[in-house]
Amino acid sequence: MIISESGLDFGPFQDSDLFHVEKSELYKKFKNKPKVAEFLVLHSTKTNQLLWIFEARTSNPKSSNSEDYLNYESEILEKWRNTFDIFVSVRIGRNSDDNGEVGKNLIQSKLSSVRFVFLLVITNAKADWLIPISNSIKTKLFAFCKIYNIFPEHIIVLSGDEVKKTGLVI
Amino acid sequence: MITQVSLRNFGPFQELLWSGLSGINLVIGPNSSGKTILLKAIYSAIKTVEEYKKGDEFRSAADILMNKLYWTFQVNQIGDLVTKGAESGLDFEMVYEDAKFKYGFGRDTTKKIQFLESYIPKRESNSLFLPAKEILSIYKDILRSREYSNEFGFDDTYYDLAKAWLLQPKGGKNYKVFAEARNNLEELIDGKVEHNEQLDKLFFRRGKQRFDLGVTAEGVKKISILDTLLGNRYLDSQSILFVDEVESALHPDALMRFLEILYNISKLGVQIFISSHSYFVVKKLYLIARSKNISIPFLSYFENSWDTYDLSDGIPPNSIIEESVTLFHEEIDLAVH
Repeated sequence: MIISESGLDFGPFQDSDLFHVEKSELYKKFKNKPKVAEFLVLHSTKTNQLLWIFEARTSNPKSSNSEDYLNYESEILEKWRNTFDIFVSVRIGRNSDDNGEVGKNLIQSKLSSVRFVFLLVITNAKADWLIPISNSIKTKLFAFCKIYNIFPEHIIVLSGDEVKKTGLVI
Repeated sequence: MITQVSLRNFGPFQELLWSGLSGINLVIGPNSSGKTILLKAIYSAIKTVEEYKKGDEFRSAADILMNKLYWTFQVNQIGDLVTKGAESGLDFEMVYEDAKFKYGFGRDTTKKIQFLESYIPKRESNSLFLPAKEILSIYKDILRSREYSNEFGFDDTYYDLAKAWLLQPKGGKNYKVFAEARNNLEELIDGKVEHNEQLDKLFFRRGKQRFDLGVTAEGVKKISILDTLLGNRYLDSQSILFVDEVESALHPDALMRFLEILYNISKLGVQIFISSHSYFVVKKLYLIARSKNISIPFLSYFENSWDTYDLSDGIPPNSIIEESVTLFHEEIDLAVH
């Protein structure tokens, strides 16, 4: 499957590696829909099983002031965390995946060793803005990363050009 | 290796425990938060251990420490080091290879340290403090002011460094790591500082060209000092190096390479304490901790408290990163005003 978000085509991904959370019936059943990221996908390297949680934006905050930026940032953090929580809730049996929308490789992935990667893609980001955004987000997730043993380098903010180098975009 | 230090009522430190220390240790905080005081406190303690019974030294450890604190902090009386308004005296404790060194004294202390216990065995290695300013341009002034005038001005960190730097190189083979580090340092500054004995003057040599020290960059002189100390055998594999404001006078590119050299030295066994104000230092040491899978204890003053972390866990919220984000906010605010 190829997923088009924020002007980029992500994929192709095997259905068995993918959970397109925001399009899923599982997600739609929540009455007050929590904000969620676009999708989760297993995309591993030779040595490590990586589970990516994707959020994509076309640009930096539209109305440019720092209050809007903080809202923008907190929304991204909320989406990542909610998506992580929904996936984990399925894995520990607190929600059931009745329609088989969570790819079977995701269901079978070993939660104790899989490496979660939180990726924010800002397609048209100014390069010099990525660093402070990345720094700010990393420090806000410091405790979360420590609790779940998520590597700090796995909180990633990339521009559209940079994400093309990862092999996640066609 | 020093594994733990604790301070109570010591200058700006009402209560501080920094444990789990490792080969490289980083302290950050705003101006006047106490970074240099902390490094100097540890330096004074380890130098006391090193000087006690060294050669013909006859003084007690308490007398050596008293002298070291007086000349390192240059206070009217060492009791002035006790935190202002504290209800009790100052306590310092350091753990070195499972052995403790501790002392304490009150606000009225002038000449005698009331309490000192040391269980650390005799240490042959030399520790050294690299202050933020280079000393090559002023080493003669440092020696003159301390040895002839006996005046305050240049504290013991400068005086000890000037004396160490003047030592003639010993014969014998140097550590391979030190030799490599020297090559890297000389490559970094594309030359080396030489002493012309006839003129009793220092020059910077780059290939066949020779430059007066006065027109040589601060960063070059700073790097040359470490180059000399690695070459004259003052430092060895068990030395402890204190680097205050490591970034001073260095371009970020040189700074990154300098930190890599320090990391290589630390692998040999040299323990390093670094203070910094630099975003690049925090980021680079974080990357070293992650990529080399090593612990880099991180002491950070942020939002009115000292907190301890390890850079191998990531970069916690801190004053330097916060400032980079503040600038970012200013920039996006500028866009609409």
